Amino acid sequence: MLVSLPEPPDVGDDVLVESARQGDYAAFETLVRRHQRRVYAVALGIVKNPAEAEEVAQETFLSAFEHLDGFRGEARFSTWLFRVASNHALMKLRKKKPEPWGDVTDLEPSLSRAQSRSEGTSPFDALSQWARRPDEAADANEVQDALSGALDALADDDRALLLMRSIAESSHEALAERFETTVPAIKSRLHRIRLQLRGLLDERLRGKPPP
Amino acid sequence: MSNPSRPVDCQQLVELLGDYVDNQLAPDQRASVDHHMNQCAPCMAFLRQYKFAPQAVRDHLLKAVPVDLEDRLLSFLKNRTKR
Repeated sequence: MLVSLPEPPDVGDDVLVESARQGDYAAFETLVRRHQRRVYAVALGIVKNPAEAEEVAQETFLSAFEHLDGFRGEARFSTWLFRVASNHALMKLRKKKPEPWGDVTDLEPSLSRAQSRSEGTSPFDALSQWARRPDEAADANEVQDALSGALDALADDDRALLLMRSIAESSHEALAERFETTVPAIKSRLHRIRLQLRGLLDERLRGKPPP
Repeated sequence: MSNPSRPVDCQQLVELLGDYVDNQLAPDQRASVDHHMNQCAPCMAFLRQYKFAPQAVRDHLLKAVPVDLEDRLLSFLKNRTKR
């Protein structure tokens, strides 16, 4: 089992990339450690399958290693990395028949770590919390289930865009370039997706049939 | 704090939410939104849900990251890059 070493503090990605490019493999491993959780999370949100999400993460970091020499430093490394991750994930998704997010047997080991702290919370408690203080309702089983369903209901590209913004923290400018559009158009699209996500969550928590 | 510009209604507030949460509104427009929400509980709840939803998605997916993913990834990469 590999030992996880503490990450060097205050060493930017650009320094690590340059070291890795010059043959410092430990610098590359530091980049992997730094970004692997979010890369996996973005991939999982897009492909909706843990095994495939891990394949995407593998492919993404392998691409990063193989293309370090060609990396254009004018973009942030993380922006480039998450763009590669989302591309790999969307390509994988489009190669196969869509599967419902609710394939619980695939997700069960992961979801067991996200079990609600308040497993006795009734649907009405969760709903009233969602209506007034959604952050306090977050751990309720009903909200976690609603999140899964709402995410699955988004169009693939919309889901990818949302995850690039919320997990990868990509800028509007980077997203506009990635989706080949303008910054105002990306802002408008993100707003529409956020409204849709809020609406989907609300419908699921209130027990209305999804669209 | 800036003074509110023209008052906004609930529909107008929804249209401004994207720029509001991204801190892109002009100060007087932001003040108008704040003023409305201080007097409109449904809009305040709507804002909380609007802000919460993407954050909740993020937390939901990050919680699902396997604890041994890092080790498996590093082993895979070491093998594939012949290190």
